[in-house]
Amino acid sequence: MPESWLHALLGGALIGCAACAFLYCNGRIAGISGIAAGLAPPAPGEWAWRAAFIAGLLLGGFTLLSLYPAAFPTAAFRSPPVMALAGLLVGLGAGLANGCTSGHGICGLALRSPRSLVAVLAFMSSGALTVYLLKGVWP
Amino acid sequence: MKPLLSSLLCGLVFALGLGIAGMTQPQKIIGFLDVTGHWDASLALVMAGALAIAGVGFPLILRRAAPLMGERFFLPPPRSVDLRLLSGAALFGVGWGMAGYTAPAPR
Repeated sequence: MPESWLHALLGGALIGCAACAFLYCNGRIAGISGIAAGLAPPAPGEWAWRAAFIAGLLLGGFTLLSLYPAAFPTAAFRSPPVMALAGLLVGLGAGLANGCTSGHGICGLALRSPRSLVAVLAFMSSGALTVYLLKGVWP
Repeated sequence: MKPLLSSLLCGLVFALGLGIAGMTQPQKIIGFLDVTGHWDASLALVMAGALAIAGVGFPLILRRAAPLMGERFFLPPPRSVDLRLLSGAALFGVGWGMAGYTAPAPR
């Protein structure tokens, strides 16, 4: 088994543990787009736990940056306008679909939600199609 | 204060999991979506690892009357599959595929 597969399984297990701990302790679903979306406009009693979770994510990012910098490759990315458009589509899409890779892909599937299964299949198919088409444009 | 601390810690562990799994590297996402190229199974294995824990854990946790630090569980209300869900997920995928697609090295 390649080492990257082991990393993938181990990292996935950690994500699963975080999602379980969040449901067990806070009673909430660890869907990142939904948690972030609820930050604005700030609602009383709804803001602090969301901000704390996002702060934890960022703290995790900084921890990785110092202990495991390989997690953040410095290779060239798409130009800022393309990234902005991609970000807009990701945000709009996750908003319409009420979830993204974490909410539908992990938590929704763990709850055996048919909606989440449909969402996962839909975004994986459209993502694969996008990559296939872009390979023609940006070989 | 305790629910905030657990929120923070769950977010922290979640991010560490993403980083260790390689999900902060765009080429890993693209490698998974690039089904006609050199397919990288990593993302599927991340989901397998996460679902092995959460798929068993969630139903067990939801047997409890309430979470440890709150009066009730907040689950999304049951809804049917509709066009909003499908179009949203499709748009998400397009952005996902666009952003993860790393540019060729400048020559």
